[in-house]
Amino acid sequence: MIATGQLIFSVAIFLFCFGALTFFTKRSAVVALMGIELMLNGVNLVLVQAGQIYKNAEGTSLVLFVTLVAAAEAALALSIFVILYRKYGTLTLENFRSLKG
Amino acid sequence: MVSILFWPLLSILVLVPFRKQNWAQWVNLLLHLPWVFFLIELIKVTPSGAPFGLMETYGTFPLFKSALVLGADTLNVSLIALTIFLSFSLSFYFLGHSKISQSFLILFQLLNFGTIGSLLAADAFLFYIFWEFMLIPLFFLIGIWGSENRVYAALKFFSMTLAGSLALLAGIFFIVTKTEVQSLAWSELSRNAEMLSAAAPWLGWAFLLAFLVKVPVWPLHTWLPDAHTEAPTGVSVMLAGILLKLGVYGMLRWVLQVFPTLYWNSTDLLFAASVIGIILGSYGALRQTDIKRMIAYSSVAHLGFVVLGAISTNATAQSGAFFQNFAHGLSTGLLFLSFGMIYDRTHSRKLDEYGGLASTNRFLAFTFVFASMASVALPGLPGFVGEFLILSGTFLQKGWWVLLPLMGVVLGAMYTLQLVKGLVFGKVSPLVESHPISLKWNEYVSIFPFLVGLALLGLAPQFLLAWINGSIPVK
Amino acid sequence: MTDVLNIVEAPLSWIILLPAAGALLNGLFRLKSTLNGLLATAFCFAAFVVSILQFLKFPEASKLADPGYLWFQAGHVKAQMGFELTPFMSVMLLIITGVGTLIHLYATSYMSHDKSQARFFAYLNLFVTSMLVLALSSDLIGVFLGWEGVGVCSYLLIGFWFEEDKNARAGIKAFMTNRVGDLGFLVALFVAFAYFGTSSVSGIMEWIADPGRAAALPVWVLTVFALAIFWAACGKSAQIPLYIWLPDAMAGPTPVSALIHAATMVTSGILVIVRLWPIFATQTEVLSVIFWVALSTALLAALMALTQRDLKKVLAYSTVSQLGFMFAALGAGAPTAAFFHVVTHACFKALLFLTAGSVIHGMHDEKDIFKMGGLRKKMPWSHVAYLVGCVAIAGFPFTSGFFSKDLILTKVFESRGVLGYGLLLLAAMLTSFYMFRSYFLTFSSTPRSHEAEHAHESSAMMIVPLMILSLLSLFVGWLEIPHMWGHLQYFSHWVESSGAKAVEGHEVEAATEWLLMGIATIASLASAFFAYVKYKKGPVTSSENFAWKLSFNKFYVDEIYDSFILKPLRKIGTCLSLWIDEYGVNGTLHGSFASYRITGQLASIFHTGSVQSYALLMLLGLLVVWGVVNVW
Repeated sequence: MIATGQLIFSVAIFLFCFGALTFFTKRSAVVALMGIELMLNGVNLVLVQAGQIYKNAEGTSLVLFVTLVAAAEAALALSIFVILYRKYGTLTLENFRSLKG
Repeated sequence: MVSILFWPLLSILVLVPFRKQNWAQWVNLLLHLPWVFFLIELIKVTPSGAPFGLMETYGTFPLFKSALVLGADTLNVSLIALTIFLSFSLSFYFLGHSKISQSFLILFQLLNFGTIGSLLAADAFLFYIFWEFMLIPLFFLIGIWGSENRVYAALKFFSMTLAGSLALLAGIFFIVTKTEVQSLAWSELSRNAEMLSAAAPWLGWAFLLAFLVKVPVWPLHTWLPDAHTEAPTGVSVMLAGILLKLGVYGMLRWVLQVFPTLYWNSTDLLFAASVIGIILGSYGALRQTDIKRMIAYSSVAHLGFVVLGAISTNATAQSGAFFQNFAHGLSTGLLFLSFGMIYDRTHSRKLDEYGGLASTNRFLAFTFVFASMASVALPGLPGFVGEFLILSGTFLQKGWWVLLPLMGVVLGAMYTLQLVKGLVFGKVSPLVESHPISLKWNEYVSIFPFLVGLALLGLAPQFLLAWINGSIPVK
Repeated sequence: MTDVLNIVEAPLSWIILLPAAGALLNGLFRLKSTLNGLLATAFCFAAFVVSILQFLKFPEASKLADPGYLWFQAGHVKAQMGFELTPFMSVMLLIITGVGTLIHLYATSYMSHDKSQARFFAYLNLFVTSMLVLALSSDLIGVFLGWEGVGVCSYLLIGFWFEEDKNARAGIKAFMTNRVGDLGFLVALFVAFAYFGTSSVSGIMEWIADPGRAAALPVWVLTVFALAIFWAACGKSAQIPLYIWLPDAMAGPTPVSALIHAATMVTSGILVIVRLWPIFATQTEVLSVIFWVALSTALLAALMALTQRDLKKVLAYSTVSQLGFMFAALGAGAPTAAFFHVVTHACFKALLFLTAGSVIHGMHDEKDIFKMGGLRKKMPWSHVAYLVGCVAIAGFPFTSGFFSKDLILTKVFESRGVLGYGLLLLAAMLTSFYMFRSYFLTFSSTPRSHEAEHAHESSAMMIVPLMILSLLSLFVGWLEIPHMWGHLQYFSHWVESSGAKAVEGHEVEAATEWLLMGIATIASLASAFFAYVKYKKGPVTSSENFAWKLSFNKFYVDEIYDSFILKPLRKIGTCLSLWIDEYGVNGTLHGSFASYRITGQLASIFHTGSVQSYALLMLLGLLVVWGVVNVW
């Protein structure tokens, strides 16, 4: 039986990688945002488990900070998406390449 | 000395309110008169003999171990005289010229400022500042008022000269940080010559590189044909007339007198480079079809002779080299100036479109032939005096190696006569016929000093030679 | 500086300043009709008068000198612009200014319809000035000033009618060939300053007269010096291999050919060698070189003259050939003979050229002798003049050419034996032949063309110089008669008192001398007769075989030079310049500029503009940094 700690860490890493993969490969901006959320959740999980292992509260408190920033960033990102959609009618990331070169 | 140095800056301030072209041109001309007066005063007090015999310090920058030191001896004052002479004659040419605007004249005066500054500076850092400073107005002058390929020419000129100057800067930094010299003043540096050479073997080369690019010594000369060709007439005259000589001056003042061992050890290399420059420069001129480019390549060949003299150990060739500076400045300056007057009207530089100028405008034809004869080193004109002294000195020092640059004498005649035949003689070409050239009074006045100068220096060169003889640095 | 003013007072410098003033005035002012010409003639004549005054100062004075002013000085080089006059040079001055004045007078009429007379006479006076500087300078470097000066004037005058491309090219050819020759003069000057410490002629003579110094000198110095001067002389005085410019120089107006390419400039080489004779006298190898080169030139040019159709070209090759005679005399160690021939040649060659000009003028610019004929009736004065010239150049008894040519032949026999004498005699026979060929074709039988039918005699201003020159050509020779005839040896006196003593050879006895004289006379008379027989009825075109082709095409020398020397040198050089400068240096530069650009372009591959790829790169970068930190 795998140790609980190891299991949780692997789940966290899996979440993180899955989120990263989503972010890097999906066409839609909203889905990429979901990937970012996944990554953040993976990180949160790692932090909680680390707090559990080392028996202190730093891990969990860090999670609060991360969640806070995640919320703000999600709000910002979604607002940008709304404006982008209004302006360009699409949220496909491939179209937004004007900084190329 | 200060007055002669800052007068161009003052001129700029005076020029600023005169927006209208005509006014600006006349004011520019009038502003030269006090400048000439300052020059005469300076000549009176310049001692001939000790290098930088006259030195004045005005302030210090302890951070860079440098100070505002200005020095004068016949070596640099003679070049200052040449600068002012050229600028004065050109200011007559500028009158009534449609392309010469107030901004052009301001930039021109900035160029003068930089030139005089580099000549008078007796402190390495100050010298470096003025040396770099010259590049900026030149870049704009060539890049804005030049011909079709001007941007390329300006960029090439700027980057090559800058690369050389950066080596100089590196050398100066090294001296400031890693050696124990008290200051960067010329007198201090030349006193500590052995210590500097021992500190780093590449130091002298760093200094030399900046000047080799400027002279220009083959193979660092490729900026010259483009810059001279694309530049507007006034700038071409200044470039050929004085700015190339600054490279030679730098070699003599800042390398020979500060790093003597390196200098004298590198003479074989420089000899080869200058001989190749003479021969390839002449052949380069021979294969051109663009008139200004031909004249530009001839400058490469002539400066090859000058460097030949500058690296020799005897006074004969050194005097010849310095004298040749003046001879070349006047003759090539006149070639560019007279052709410039033709180009202003015909807008073509292609040699095969020309012919028969002697039938339509005798004065210009005469001027052109006269300047060409000076360029070819005909005895009776100053080019001969310079070249003969250089070659005699080279024979004395290097024996039969002198036969190589001697070929340059024959090659020089070849391309010059080709140029004269294509431009001045022959049947009147359609281009010349459709653009009859009648010169305005101010154009005559601008040419006149060159003719007089050439004739005088050719038949009675001794008065100049005797004056500069004292400051010629010899081993 | 004040010693520049010294010049104006001394009379020697006046000789130079007078034509110089003439040149300046002619250059600045275009006057009506023939006034420019008359002005130029007047200044030249004034110089002639001053020259006579100087000449008369000898023999009381052995040498006239004028220190002049310091031209330039630096290091070991000191160039003094001073003047000095020796007896033989004063005679030369008379020739330069005297014959010069006659030619100026002639030219005033000859060029009277030209539209640029002022320019012509400015150049002509400038030429006389330069020639005088060449003759009078005390320092070799001053001589060089005159040397190049006459070269430039030659270039300007040959290409005077510059609208024709051919004339301009001929001028350039003259200048370039002379430049190549001038390299020799420059080398000689370098050697002089480096080893003798001075370029002053008297200074050099003094220096080498000192036995101590002469012994310390490396052996090759004097030889190189002499050879270098000879090379320069080959250029200026048209010897092999640098004679090619002279025939082409006929493109210029005839007075130019007469003055420059017959009487004065081309003799400069001989003049300089005679001045430096004490050095040459000791260099036997150099004298041999001079002799054989001169002999070949004399023969080669004579062979080329045999078939020419252009009247001026015949005379041009004749000049080259006669110059060969003069150098042959030098090579035989006889400066007197050489200088004597210089003077007589100046008289009769100028005469021949001016007459040719008169003929061409009368023939409305037709130069082909095949188209002439019968002119002795149409142009009687020119006919007499030309006949006198031919007779003199062929060396008919008692003409000036007789005495000078005979002296040369005798001296050559004395020093070079039968072979040298025989070959030179052959050249003399050829001379007689081709000169009379040209005479008969031009003046005998009947007119062969329209122009010849309507030929007219020239004006008095042209005829008078012809007559004066005819008299000179007939009688100048009496100034140097063979010893066995009497004691009139002025030329020997003049040349020897100027420091040029002939090389000691074995003098022939009187009987041999009579024999030689007889052979030469008979030979030239026979050649003339042969020419009469062949050409009295007109041109003979039947024998255009291979030999004829060689002669008519000048032995293809120009073509050989062009393909083997000139074109390759130019092509190699320009190609080298192109490859090294454009492709090599510029290429390297552009390459280094390109490397900046390429680096930038490589870097911008990462700038995709896509947020996702930026994020990916960030991650990768982070991993790399983490890895580096942990591994180290």
